[in-house]
Amino acid sequence: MTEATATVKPRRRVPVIWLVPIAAALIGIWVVIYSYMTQGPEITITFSTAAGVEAGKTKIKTLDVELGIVESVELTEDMRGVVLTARLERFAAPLLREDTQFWVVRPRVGPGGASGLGTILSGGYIKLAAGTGKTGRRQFVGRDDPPLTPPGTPGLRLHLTSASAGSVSAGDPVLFRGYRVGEVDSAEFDLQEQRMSYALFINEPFDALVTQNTRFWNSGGISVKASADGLEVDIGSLQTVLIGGVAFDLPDGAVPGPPAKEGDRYALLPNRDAINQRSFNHYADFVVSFTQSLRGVRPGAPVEYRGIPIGTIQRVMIREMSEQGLKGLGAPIPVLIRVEPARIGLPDTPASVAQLEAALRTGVEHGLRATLQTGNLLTGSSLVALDFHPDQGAAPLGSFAGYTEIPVLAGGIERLEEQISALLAKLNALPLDPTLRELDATLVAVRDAVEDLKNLLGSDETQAIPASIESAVLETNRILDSLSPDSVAAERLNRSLAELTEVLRNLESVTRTLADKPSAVIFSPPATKDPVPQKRSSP
Amino acid sequence: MSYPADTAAARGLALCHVCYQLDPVGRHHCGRCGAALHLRHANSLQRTVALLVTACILYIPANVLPIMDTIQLGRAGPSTIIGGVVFLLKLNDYPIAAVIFIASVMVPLAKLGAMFYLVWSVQSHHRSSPRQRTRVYQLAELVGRWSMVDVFVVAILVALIQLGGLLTILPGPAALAFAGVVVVTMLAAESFDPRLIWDQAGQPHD
Repeated sequence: MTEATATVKPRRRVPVIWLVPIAAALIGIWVVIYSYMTQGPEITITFSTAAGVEAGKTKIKTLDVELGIVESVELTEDMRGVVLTARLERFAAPLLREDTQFWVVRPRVGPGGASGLGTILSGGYIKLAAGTGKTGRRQFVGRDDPPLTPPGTPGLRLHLTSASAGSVSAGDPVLFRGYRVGEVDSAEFDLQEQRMSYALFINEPFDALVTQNTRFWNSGGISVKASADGLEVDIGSLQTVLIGGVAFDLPDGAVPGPPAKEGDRYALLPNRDAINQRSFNHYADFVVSFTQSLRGVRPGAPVEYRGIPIGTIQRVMIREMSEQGLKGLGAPIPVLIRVEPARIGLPDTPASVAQLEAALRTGVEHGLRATLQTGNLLTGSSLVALDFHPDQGAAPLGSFAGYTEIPVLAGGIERLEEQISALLAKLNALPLDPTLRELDATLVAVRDAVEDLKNLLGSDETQAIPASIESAVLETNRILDSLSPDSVAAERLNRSLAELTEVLRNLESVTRTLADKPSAVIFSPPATKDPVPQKRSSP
Repeated sequence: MSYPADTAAARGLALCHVCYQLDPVGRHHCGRCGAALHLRHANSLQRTVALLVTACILYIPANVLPIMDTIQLGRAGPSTIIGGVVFLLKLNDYPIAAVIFIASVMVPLAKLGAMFYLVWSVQSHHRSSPRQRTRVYQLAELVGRWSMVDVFVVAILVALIQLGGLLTILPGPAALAFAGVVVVTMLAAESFDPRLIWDQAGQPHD
């Protein structure tokens, strides 16, 4: 460079190329920020086992739409369960509610059938069933089994309690008159109350059938009831016999009442009859004391008036008896009965009770008595029957331990025994000796008569009778033979008859001629020409 | 060591990059074709560095995001590059794992490293052998394109294996990022002017 030249230095400026890395960096940062901002909620689900769940692979779905993926699977702190951390999409956030449920869809076989078989090939996934509560929950406890009725299904949820477990378990049908309208969601034993608690779900539109007055009973299995009314066997459908179920209906004659609300509580009664056992509010208690055996007297057995139930037996009052000092063995044992006027159609009011009491008092004066009768020979249960006995006069109403006592009459088997013993006594009292003596004399006379008859039969004349009879018979036979169609006499008779017929025939032509021409007697009839055969003239 | 200084630059001549005519450096445009005349590629180092940085930025998603998504009977299996290599190792398929590893991991990293070294060596007037450095540059430029093997593998798998629910392979976002890395490194090698190596090697130190 010897010449002095102006050094042209280009103005330093940043080359455009730097836009490229800047752009790349900006894009990268923007992608990161964007995915961070549009990230959905992260949730944790606790399960008892992680079977079928893989970190990074297992999806969470609802209605077969993918909502997210399980990111990690870890043991819980107490090492007794697993905690899954999953990230869901943004649009899934409204599904996370208080009662949202999660469960792992695995192949399952149960009483309801097999489910989740597709997961054998495709691997398990976690299913979400959105609830209806408040949103915002992020920590969930997953179920081991899919819920029987997913939350959100339209219908009614109810609670039943019962004293014993019976045969009702989760998944059993709920029946209304034999038709399946819902199912038992869960059956748990409440340790606090020591009662079984069931959660029922009734599908729409059958939830309108459940009202405040509806009664639920256990319709599973076979119900056999033996009582004073007899033996009763009751089974529902085959499914309920095998699996069990709950049925509901209104008690006889009850009005439906207002419809049931979600979460209402009912009692689970043991059988269908229990729903008709209304409790009557107004009643009168009486005492009846029996000297006969009280075997078969059970609380709840009916008190009847001429076969119509008017009340129930409450109990045998042993305690009151012992309180009163058991004065004298052999004293009648009191039984407390309750008469409910509402049973016979009177209104359930105290006025009806007073009315009934007055009627009883009057009745007792006219011979109304209480008797203990066998209701059912098979089960040996007894019932108290009130009836009028015409042979009984007026009797006072007694009193025992504060209750009015109705006078009793021995009845039933007792009465039969009485009658039999009376019969036997009567038999005893019969004058048998003179009768027997007379009988004896008669027999002697008969014997003598027989003796005489024998003598008669043995005599010669009597023996000869048969011989003579025989000869007479032979003679008669001979005569009859001669009169028979084959005999000679008959033949001769036949011949004569034939000749006579001939003569008559000949005579017939004469008489005819005479009839036509009475003059033929004198004049001979004109001779007729003999016909001559001729050729027929041609037509 | 001194190198023969009989270069076009030493004589004050610049090569037109369009029609390859030698023109005096003072002129700013080629006498023949009129293209802009540069003694050395304009802003070669800056451009190289910019592109290398871009490649580095893109390399992160290329490895973090899944390059391929295998859906087998409904079971999804997204896999990254490293994940694929590990998977092949588990299957004891060492040759293919080695190929994938070399082509997708080692080569891009090596190329990035080499280019960064070259740029740095020119910038800081490092005294290592220019011949060796030129070799390095040559190697980097040749081998660089073979990193596209991985992208081609993904493309072929996606195109061929479409068995519906039984087995379906879908490309992942990392495939795009990785292709970007390869292309950008190729551009970076392209924009590096290897004459710069010899320029600073030939000059005496101060």
